[in-house]
Amino acid sequence: MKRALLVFGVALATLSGCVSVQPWQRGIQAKRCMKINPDATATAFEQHVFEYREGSAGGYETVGGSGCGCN
Amino acid sequence: VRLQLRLCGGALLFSLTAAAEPTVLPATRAGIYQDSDHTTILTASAGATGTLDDRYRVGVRYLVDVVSSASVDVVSQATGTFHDVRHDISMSGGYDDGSRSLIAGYSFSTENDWTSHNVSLAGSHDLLERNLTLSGSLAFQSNAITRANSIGFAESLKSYLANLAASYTLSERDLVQVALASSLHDGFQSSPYRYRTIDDVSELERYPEERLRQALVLRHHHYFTGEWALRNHARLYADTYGVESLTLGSEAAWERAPFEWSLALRGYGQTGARFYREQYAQPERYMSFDKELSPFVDVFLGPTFAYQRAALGPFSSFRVDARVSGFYFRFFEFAALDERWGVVADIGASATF
Repeated sequence: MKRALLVFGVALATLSGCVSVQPWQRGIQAKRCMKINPDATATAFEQHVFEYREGSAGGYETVGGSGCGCN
Repeated sequence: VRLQLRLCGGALLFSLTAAAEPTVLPATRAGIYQDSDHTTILTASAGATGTLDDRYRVGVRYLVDVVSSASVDVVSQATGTFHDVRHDISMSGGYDDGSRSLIAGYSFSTENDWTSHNVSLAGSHDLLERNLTLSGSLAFQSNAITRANSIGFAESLKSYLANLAASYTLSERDLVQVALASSLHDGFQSSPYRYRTIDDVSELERYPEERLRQALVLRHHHYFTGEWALRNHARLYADTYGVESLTLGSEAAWERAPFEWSLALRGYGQTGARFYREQYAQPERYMSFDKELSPFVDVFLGPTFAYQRAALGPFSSFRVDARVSGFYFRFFEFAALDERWGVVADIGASATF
């Protein structure tokens, strides 16, 4: 966990060092296909399959109800 | 000066009028999962998100899973096919002005043998002229586990989850994100049904009560000329059961209003839990008969199609999408099922008015 936090901190510090894109240059970034999670419900449906069919979970911005997953 | 005041007054009046305009975003989605291990899951959800005063957001959603399975896990327990229905109700609300948000949520889910309460708090903040977005969430889940048609079996599981993410606009065409997720699970985590006969004695599988799970996700989205984007992600995962996994995903997405197409490919591989054995010669302190804790790889591949209109009938925006993925699993140390394949598909619709 400490290593992960260190990576996270270094990445954050690196990213914080510059402002590369001005507000009037953000047209492409506003497109749906550039968004991290454009549809939370669709993402939750998708992750629901992975979380119960694979032995690992987490990291995809979904917090849902639990269950046995019908294994 | 009078003109300026009038302009300012007009702008203020316009902004107040616009700000006071509430919006409602109803959304519905339905999906099906079918695999070669005789498992079918039908899922449907309906919900709505509303914004008040452009700064306050509330949401509610209902989801239902209908499960029918005769998988090797079920059949090996001599219980034949089982059917179950899971209901999940969630609600959320909080502040979201577009550059800062703080949203609280609660969900309740129940099925034949499992009841879960989940509370969460998520926030985000834009920095560096909105080039950097920091976001995080905390959640707590309390689960009660019973066993269908069995009196006296009662277990519990408490989960504590934390997520931290930073998204950065690297250039006009590049977006990167690094995200960390950590969760601690304390309590009953094995199946209440999964038994094996060892030395002529039927043994219920047993897992360590505490499991710490950690994941690191890296994403990169790049927009090419020609109205298409490539969305890549990699995920590293490790937990205290000894499961380590790598996920690699790539999705090519095209946008040409009013249509969107995409094709996604995702590959996954994991090691098994350190206490997992294909066969146990004698009962051990921890035992797993679960193929999801064995070493395996899988791959998902499939397209998505979407149609979106800025205005349609009574709606100020309307969107419908459909996606389908074929998948294949290869289990390396699970004799009862060495491979599994199938299809998962869903269709969704949302609108704003």
